[in-house]
Amino acid sequence: MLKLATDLLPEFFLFLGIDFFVGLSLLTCVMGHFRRTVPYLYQAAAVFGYVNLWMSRQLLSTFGEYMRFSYCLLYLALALANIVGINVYLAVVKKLWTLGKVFASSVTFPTTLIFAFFFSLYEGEPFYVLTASFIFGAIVLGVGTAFMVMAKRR
Amino acid sequence: MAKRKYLDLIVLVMISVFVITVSAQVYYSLGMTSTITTAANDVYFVKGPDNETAGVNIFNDNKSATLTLLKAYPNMTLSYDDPIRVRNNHTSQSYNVRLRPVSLSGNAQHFVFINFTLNTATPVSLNYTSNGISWADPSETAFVTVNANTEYAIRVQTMANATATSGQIATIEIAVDVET
Repeated sequence: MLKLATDLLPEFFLFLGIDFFVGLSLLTCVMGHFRRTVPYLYQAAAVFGYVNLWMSRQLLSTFGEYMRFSYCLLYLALALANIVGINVYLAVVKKLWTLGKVFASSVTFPTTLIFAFFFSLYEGEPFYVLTASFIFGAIVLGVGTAFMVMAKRR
Repeated sequence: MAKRKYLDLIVLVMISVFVITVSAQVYYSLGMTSTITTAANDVYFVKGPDNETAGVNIFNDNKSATLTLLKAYPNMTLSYDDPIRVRNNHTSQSYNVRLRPVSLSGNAQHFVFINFTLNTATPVSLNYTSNGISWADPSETAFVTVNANTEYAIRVQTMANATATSGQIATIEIAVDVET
């Protein structure tokens, strides 16, 4: 039987949060709807995450697993909140509905799904319904993107 | 304007690659970090009913013991059935133990054998035998289970050569290895 590796460290959420912040930084730079300082602020947030990760390693025996899990999850939740915030900013404040929808389906939804997937893997058996929905979501996203690109080329 | 944006992007990509690389390295090193805590040993020696005749002295928080009054009679097997015991003091966890030879000194021509047997469910023995010229050193025993909250006797059997003179000494050091 195929078994998923479920031995995730709490710091994995921190690492995921760093990736989200880095991605957000590059996206905000490319999109051009934000001030020049915004991408750099997200880079700073990613560096802050790295410092957290490093401190977590240095103080591994001092911090209990519950505390490590708490601050790692908080950091990841912060990264997710920023993604949702950017989405809302584009759709509501800037009134760019189409861009907002594209951002929601290509960034906000997948990152939320990734978060839910790894959160379900942490501690205990993997949640197979969520795993299946993650794969299904990825397929739908891929097919949708392919159709979108094809329609534009015509 | 576009040039500045490209420059920003290049700088951001470079910082991103650096941050992700070092973060991945730190996370990977976390997986290899292990915490080891010292703890009191659960398996240790206790005296058996025959401890006085065998001259058992236990020290070093029950982790070391000497048996100084063991005798070996010519052409006769002498058995100390229960001079010292190995105790697993844990309330629920069993351990595996084995007997391992450490050192041996003494003139082989005066002895026939000196045996140490740990009386677990499957007894294991260290048999030091002499052919009258030299000792045959045994190899360590297999690991056997010692159940929680249980004591197991170490039986000692000796025999001296028929022509052995009185006062000859053999000194044997053995170790009891413990694994979880």
